[in-house]
Amino acid sequence: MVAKKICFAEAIALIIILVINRIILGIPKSLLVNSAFSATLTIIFVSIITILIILFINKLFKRFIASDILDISEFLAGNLLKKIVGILYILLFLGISILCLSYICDVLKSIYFEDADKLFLALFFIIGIVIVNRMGFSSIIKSNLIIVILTTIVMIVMFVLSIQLFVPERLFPLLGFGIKENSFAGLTDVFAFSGLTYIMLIFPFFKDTQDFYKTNIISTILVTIYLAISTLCLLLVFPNSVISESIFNMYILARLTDLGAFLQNTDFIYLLFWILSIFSYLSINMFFITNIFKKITNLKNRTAVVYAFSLIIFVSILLINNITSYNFLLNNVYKYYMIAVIVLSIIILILANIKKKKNSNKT
Amino acid sequence: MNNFKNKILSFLDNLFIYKETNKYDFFLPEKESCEVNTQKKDEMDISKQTDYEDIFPNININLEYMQIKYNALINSDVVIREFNLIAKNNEYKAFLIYLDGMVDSNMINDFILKPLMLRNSANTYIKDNQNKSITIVKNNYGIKKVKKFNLEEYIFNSLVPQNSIKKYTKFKDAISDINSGNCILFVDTISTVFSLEVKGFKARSIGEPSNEIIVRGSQEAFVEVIRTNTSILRRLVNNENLIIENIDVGKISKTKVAVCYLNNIANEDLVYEVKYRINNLDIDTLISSGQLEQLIQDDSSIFPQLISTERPDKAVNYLFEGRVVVIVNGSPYILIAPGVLVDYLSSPEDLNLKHQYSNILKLIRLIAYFFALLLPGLYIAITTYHQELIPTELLLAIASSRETVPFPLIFEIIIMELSFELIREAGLRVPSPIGPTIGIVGALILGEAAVSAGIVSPILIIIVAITGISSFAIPDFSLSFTLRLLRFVFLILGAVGGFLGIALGIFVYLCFISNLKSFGVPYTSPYIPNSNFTNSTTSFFTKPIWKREKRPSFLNPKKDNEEGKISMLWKKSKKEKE
Amino acid sequence: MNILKKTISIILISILILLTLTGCKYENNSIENQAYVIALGIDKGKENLLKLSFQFATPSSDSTSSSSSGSETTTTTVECSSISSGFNLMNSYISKKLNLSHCKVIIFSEELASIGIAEEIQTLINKIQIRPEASIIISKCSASDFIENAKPNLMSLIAKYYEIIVTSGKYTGYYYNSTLENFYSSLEEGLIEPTAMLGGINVENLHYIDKNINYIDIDSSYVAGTSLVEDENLIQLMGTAVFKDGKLVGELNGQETISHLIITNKLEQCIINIPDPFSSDNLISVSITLNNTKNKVEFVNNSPFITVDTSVEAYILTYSDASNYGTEEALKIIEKYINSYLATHISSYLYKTAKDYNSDIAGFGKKVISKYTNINKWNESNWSENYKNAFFHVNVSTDLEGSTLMINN
Repeated sequence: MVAKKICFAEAIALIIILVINRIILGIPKSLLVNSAFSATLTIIFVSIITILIILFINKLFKRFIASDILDISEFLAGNLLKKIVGILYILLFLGISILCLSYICDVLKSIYFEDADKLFLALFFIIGIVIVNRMGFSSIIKSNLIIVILTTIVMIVMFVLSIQLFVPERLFPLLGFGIKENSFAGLTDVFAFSGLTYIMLIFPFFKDTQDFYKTNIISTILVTIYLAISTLCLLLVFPNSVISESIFNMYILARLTDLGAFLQNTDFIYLLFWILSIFSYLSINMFFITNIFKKITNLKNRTAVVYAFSLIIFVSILLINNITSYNFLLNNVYKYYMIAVIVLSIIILILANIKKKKNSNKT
Repeated sequence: MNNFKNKILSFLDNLFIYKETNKYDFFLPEKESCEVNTQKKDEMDISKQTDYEDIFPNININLEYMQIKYNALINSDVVIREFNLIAKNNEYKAFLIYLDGMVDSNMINDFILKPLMLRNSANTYIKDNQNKSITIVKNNYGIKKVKKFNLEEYIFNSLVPQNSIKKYTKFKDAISDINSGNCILFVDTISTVFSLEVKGFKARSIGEPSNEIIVRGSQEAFVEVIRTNTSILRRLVNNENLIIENIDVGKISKTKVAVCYLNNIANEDLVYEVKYRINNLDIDTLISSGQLEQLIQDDSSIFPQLISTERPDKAVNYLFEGRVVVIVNGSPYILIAPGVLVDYLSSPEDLNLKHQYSNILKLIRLIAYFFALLLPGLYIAITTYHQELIPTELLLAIASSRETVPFPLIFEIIIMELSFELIREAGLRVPSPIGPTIGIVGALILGEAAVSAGIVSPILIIIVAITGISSFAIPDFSLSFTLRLLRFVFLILGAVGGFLGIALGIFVYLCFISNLKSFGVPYTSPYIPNSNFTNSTTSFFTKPIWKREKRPSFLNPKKDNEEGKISMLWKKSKKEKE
Repeated sequence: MNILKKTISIILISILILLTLTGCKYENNSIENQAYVIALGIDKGKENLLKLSFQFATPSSDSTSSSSSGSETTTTTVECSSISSGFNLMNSYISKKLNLSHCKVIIFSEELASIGIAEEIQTLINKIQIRPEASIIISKCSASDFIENAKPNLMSLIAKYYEIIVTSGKYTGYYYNSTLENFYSSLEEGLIEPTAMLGGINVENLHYIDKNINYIDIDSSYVAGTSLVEDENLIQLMGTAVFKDGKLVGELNGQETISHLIITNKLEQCIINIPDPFSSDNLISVSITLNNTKNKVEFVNNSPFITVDTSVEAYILTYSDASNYGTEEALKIIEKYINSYLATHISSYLYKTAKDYNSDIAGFGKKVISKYTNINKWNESNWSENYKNAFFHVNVSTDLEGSTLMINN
C-alpha cells in the first residue's frame, strides 16, 4: 500500500491541526486569567514537561518499530486488551469530535445564521466528512497540509496586524497570581497539547521510520510557539477579565484587526480558514476512529463504517444544550478522561517494553 | 412489487455497502533526491552501447549498427531500403536509410534508386575497366603501380545525378544528416557513405494555431495528417533518441496513433503504461484525440488529466522534460501525458518571455481562476448572510437597486448566468459576418435592457461579466469548462449555507484534487508531495532561465539535469575559465 | 406499472431533497428586507424607562439613476425598559428587520450617563451584530435631538459623515475618538478610566463666553455646543466626558482635552495661542505636534508623586510685519513661553482630574502596576481611591522650528 505512507511535512501538519483547533475552540481558561507574561511562562513550563514526556515516549517506542498502541497492547496481553484500548480511543475521538462540532455550530449560529437550526449547520460538516472519508487517506492528508499552511499564514497576518493594538502594560504584574498557582494550574492543561493522542497512533503510517522521532519533537516545539504567540496576542490586546468572560476569543481579536482604511471588516477571511481547518480536523478524527474500529474488528475496509459513526456524531450534538454544559463537559469530564487515557497508554508502553526485554533476555 | 423492492434494495446496497472494486491504481514512484548520484547517472547514459566512430567497410555491420541506433524495428518512420547497386556492371550490396516524411520520395525514386538500381548506360560502362598502369622509375628499376578501381570516387563522380552529395567517414556525421532530412547511402566494401540532399518535409503550409494564439512564439500548428505532425516533431527535436511508435486503434477504422518520447529521458514505466492503455482498447472506431483522451484517462472526473494542444513548441518542451506525446491521425490536437494542475494554468509563451513578465501574467491567471470559480457564490453568500462585510455605501446602493426587482437573488443570478451561457453558445454558430458583433453587442444591450426593465440589478451584470471574462483568461480549454460547471455548484452552496457552504465546497474541492492522479503522477505535483519545485522547469511561477536546472522529479526522468550549474558560461570572466 | 413507480420514486426523492433545504430561510435575510441602523441613541425616559432612538438609512427608491444622489435618513424613537426589548418593539413597528451591523455611533445623553451606563455598555458588547469600532458619544442635549440634527452639511452620505466626523479630532486635538471596545476594556480593567466624546447641538442660546478666561484661551475653552459658530443647528463634537465607575463625573473642555492627549501620548496635532512675549496685546498661534511623553510614578508616604516629561515640536503660524521671530534669541524666548503655558495648563488639568473628579483617565495606573509582581497585591493597593492624593510635577520642552513659509530677520 504505497499510497498510504505519509512524509515528514504531512505528519507535522497532522499534529499542528490539533493545536490550531485548540486555539480556535478556546485556550483553556485557567491559562488566560493571568497577565500576559505569566501566561506565557506557564505555557513554556507546561511545554517543557510535555517535551520530557515525549522524549520518554520516543524511547519507549524504539523497540516497537512501525506499530501503534493497539499492536503493542495486543503484544502485551492479547486481544482483550487491544479491544479495550481501542474502545477507549474511539470514545476519546468521538468525544472531542462531538464537543468541537457542537461548539462550532453554536458559535456560527449566534454569529451568522440566527434562523437556522443547529442540526442544519452540523449537516454541512457531516456531509463534508463523509465525502472526504470515502475518497481515501492520502487525499485527507494532502489537503490537510495545504489547509494547515494557509491557516498558519493567515493567523500570522492576524497576529502581526494586531500589534498596533498592544498595550504593553498588560504584561505586568509579572507573575500573575503567584508562582504556585501558575504551575499547578498549568499542569492539568497538558491536554492543551492533545497531540499526544495522535502520536500513539501514527507510527505505522510513516514512510521513513526515523522521521517519527523527529516529528514528535518538532511538532511539540511548534505547538508551543503557536500557543505562546496566540496567548500573548490575546492577553496584550484585551484585559484578562474580558478574555475570561468571552466565548470565542479569537473572533473578537479578529474583529478588531484592520490595516487603516485599506483592510476593514476582514474577519470573514479568518473565519473561512478556521472553518476549513475544523473540517480537516473532523475528517482526520473520523479517519482514526474508523481505522481503530477496523483494526479491532478485522474489517476489510473502513468506508462502510464511516456512515455509522457520522450518524452517531450528528445525533449526539443534541446532547449538549448550552454553553455551560459544554464547558462542564470539556473542562471537567473530558480533560481528566484524556489524561487518564494518556497515562494508561504510557503504562502499557512501559509494561510492553519490560516484557520485550524479558523475552529477548530469555532467547 | 418484488421488482421494485429489489431495485430499492440494490440501490441502497450500492450506496452503503462496501463492494470490493479492483481499482486500477498505477503509481509512478517519485524520484528520491540524492545529489551524489546524479553525476554518476548522467554519465551512465542508457544508450551506452559501444559507440563506433568510423564507418566499416562491411555492409552487414553497418546495417546492424544503424538498425540499433535508430531502433528501426520499433521506430515506424525510419526506412531502410536495401538494394543492389550496379557499378561497372558489377553488383554491390547497398542500402539507403532515411526518415519518411522528411524526404521527397519522388526525388529518391528518380535520382537515386533509378540510376543506381536499373541498368543504364552509365553504370554498365566498362570501357575503361582496364587497369591503368603507371611505370615509376626508382633506383634504376621500374615499378609498376596498378591503379585500383576506386568505387567511391566512381559513384561520387559518375553515378549519382544528385545536386548535393557529401561524403562522410564517421557515423555521427551520417546520423546528424539523417536527422535533418537527408538520405544516406551505404555501399558494401567502402567505408565512406554518401549523404544525399533530398529534403522534402512540409513547412509552413501548416496554418496558424486557431485557439492558442500567443504573441511571441512560433505560429505553427499541427495538422490532420499524422506524418506531417511527426515530421514537425522530428524537425524541432533534432535528436536521434526521439522514438515515434505506431499503434493501430479501432477494429474497423484502424486509426494510426503515434506515441512519441525521448528514449534517454522519459521514464520507462510511464511509456509502458501509456502504450499498455492504448493497446488494450476494445472499440470499433476512433476518430479524434478527444475520444482517445476519454478512453485512456485515469478517472472520469471533470478535471482534465491529459494536456491537449495544437502547438508544436509546447509539445516539444514537454517532450524534453520527459513526458509522452500521443498523436492521433485525423486530429490536430495532440495529447500529452501526464498533466498536472499547474500545467493547465501556464501558457506556452511563459518560457519565451522574461520571467518577470510571465510571473505577473501567472498571477493574473490565478486571480482569474478564483473569480471564475467563486465570485457568484461569494456574492450571494455575502449579501444574504454576511451584510457586515460590505462598506455601508455599497450596501445601500445594492439594496436600493434591488428594491424594484421582483425576483429573489438566486433566481436573478441563475437567469443571468444562463443567458450568458446561451450567448456564448450561440456566438459559435452565427454566420461569420455578424458573428463578433452579436457577441459583444448582444451581451451589452441585453444587460442594459434587462436593467432598465427592472429584471436584474446593475451590480449583478458586473459580477456576471467579470466571471465570464475570467473564465476566458484560463489558457486551457478543458479547465475553463471545469470552472464553468463548478461555479454553479458553489452558487447553490453559497445560497444555501453562506460561508459554511462555500467552505464545504472548497474543502471537498481540495480533497478531490489531492486524490486525483494523472498517469500515476499526483495532480498537485510538484508542490504536494514535495518535489523539487525550486529549480525544476515545471512549477507554478516561472523561474529565471538560469535556474531551470533540473527536470521535474515527479516525472522520474532518466536524466536529471537540464542545464549546468552555471548555464551562462560567457558571463564568467576569462580568468575564472582558466 | 413501471412508469408509475418511477414517477412516484422521483417525486419522493425530490420532496426529500427539498426538505433538507428548509434551513435556508433567506427570504427574510435578503439584503433589501433589512433596515440598517446608522446611529443609535439612548436617553432616559419617564421613571425607569429608557428611550431608544434609531436613525435608519433609507435607500433611494429610483433605480434608473446609476448612483444615489443622497441617502435619506429617518429617525424613530421608542420607550422601553431595556435595550433588547427596545429592539424587539422597534422590529414590530417598522416593516423590515432591524440590522445593527452598520451602526457607526452610539449616543448616550448626559442625564443617563450621570446615573451610570455600565450595564448598557455590557449589553451592547454582548450583541454580536454591533461592531466594536462603533464610537461612543455623550450628548449634552437629549440623544434623539442630537440624531435628528445630525445632517451632513458638506457631503451627501450619512454613514461616511459619521466615519469622518469622529476622526477629525486628530488634527484639532479637541476630542478623541473612543470606541465601544476601548470603553468596555477600560471599564473592566481598572488601569485607566474610560472617556468618551462630548457632543451637542450648536444653538444660539448656548453660546457662552466665560468671563474669567483670558481672551487668548477663549477659542479652546468651549465644550460641545457652546462655541461661537453661526450656522443652522447642527451637531458639534468638542471636549471629553470623564467617567468613574461607569458614571459621568465631569467634562473637559477643548484645552483640557489637549492636555489629556499630551499625557496619554495620543496627540497628533493641535493649535494653541500663547501671549506674545514682544508685545503684550498680541498673541502668537503655534502648531504643536507631540514627540514623546514619559510619566513616572513614585510613592511618597503612600501618596503618589507623578512626574511628567513632555517634549513637543512647534511651528509659528502668526506672521505680521511687526513681528520679529527670525532671530535665535526670539525663538528661545517663545519656546520658554510655550513651555510655561503648556506646563500650567497640563498641571491644572491633572489637578482637576485628581482632586475634583478622582478619576485616573490619564492611565497612571499602568505605570503603577509594573511595580507589583502579584495580581492580588495590585488589587489590594486600591489605586483608584489613592489617586486623589496625587502630586504632580510637569516639565515641558519645546523644539521650535520657526515658521512654515516666511520668516523675517
